[in-house]
Amino acid sequence: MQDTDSYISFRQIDFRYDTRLGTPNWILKGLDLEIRRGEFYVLLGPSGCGKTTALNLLAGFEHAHGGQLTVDGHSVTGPGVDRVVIFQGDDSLYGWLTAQENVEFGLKMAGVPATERRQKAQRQLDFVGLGQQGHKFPSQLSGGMKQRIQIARALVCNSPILLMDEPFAALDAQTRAILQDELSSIQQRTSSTVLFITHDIGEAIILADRIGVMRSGPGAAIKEEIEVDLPRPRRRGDPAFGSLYDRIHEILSEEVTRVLRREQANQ
Amino acid sequence: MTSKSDTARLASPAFAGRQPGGWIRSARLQTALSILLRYVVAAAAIVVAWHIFSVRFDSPVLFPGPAKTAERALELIAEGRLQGDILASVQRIFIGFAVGSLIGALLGLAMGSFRMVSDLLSPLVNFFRFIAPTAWIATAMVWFGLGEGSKVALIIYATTFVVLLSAMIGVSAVSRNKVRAARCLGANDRQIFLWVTIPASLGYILTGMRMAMMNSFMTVVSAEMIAADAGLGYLIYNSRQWMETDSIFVGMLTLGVVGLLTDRLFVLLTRTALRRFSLL
Repeated sequence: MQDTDSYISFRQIDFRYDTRLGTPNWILKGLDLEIRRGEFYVLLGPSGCGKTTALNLLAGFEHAHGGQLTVDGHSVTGPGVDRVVIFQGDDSLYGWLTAQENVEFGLKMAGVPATERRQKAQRQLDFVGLGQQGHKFPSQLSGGMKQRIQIARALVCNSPILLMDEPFAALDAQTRAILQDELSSIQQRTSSTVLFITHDIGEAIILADRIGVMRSGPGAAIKEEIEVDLPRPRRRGDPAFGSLYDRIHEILSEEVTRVLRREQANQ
Repeated sequence: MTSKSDTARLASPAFAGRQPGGWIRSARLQTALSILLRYVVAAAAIVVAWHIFSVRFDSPVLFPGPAKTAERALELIAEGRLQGDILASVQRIFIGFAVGSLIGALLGLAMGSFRMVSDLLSPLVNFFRFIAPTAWIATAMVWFGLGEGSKVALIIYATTFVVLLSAMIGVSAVSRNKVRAARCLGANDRQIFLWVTIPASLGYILTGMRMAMMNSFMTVVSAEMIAADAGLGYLIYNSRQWMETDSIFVGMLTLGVVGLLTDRLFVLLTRTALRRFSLL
């Protein structure tokens, strides 16, 4: 039977794109994944392996062609405020709204009165360190600040689950490191459940309670799961960090070489 | 606030003499003046070229020069005719443009957002947009009479398709993540249309309106040439009968000037009122 502490559950999930010739292109095949409540789960894998597809299925943007996908025992049928996505690009922010108004968006949709909305949004902006920047438009803010707005916009909805699709991939290394540490502490404080997608091993180790390394497609699934029990806040110079990094690197490079061999064979 | 600090900066000895025209104390005024200067230079170049051509052509009746045209313009103003013609044309354009833009924007947004509406209307739109407004002049006269109705109807027609198409493109250019984010944040279809689709495509709609304004000017001239008792098109066409080339030139110049001013005014208004949406 179902794992008692399983909160998000992918069971034998299949997903395909139909090519123009009519032959199905299986992205995911038999994906099994259980995420516990309050867990920070990182999906790690080479690009094009189907990580984002898994996230889009959970977000409700796409629908699986087979298997069962549930959150807290309920099937996922479409997008919902309980699973807010933080996107990689800043094109999900509304350029015609100020930072403050962007954060208020979800509350406005829910019909929360303006005064309450403003207070709640201000609190979240303070929380992500943008308390003084609320009046600015996204185009006036740096890449890191824009990602913070996305985080604040999700947090203000009290969403129990955050879905993060390589949110820091477009940032410079220093900003990325700062935001990783901040996200880690935000998650500890809010105890939200996070599904985080990345291809960066270091990022995975800094953030994750558990890392799922994906096998590359077609027909991708989880290849191996790794519990990360390093104490927080984690330091990148920690020897345990290094050995974990090497271990995951080995698993990943097996996958990458396998893909390369297959591509060479196909040529 | 900014201008104050700019003034201080420009007035400081370290800055003096570095900037050409540094004697002007406000940076903003300086920019405005330099833009105005460019406008004046461009206008002067046209007048000079025109003068040279007219001297070469050597026929004040067939090709009047700037001086003769200006003289004629003053006469027409003194008679009160030019003002009347401008007013008549601008009024028609304004009403037709406003109504056409509204219809175009609404239909374009609907067609871009709803598959059903698009499937129903795109064959019609793609059919009619190739029938030029001028092709409708005859029928417009028959249906809407020789008065204002037919002219305004033609301008509505000329405006609608341009704005409609740009609104449609605007909707299709709304990034997928903006819509997906809104769904995650609990927006329903109606809210997404209202709070994401419309504001995100507003820049495209405004650009379309700017192009439609040009179409309106072109259409009004043609319509006024066929049947009207006032308007810049009437002025141009009526002057032809008496070989008043200078009056024709006055009409053409006025069209250009009124068009230019309208366009500048439109950009200025949208930049101030709709600054956050502006793509102009």
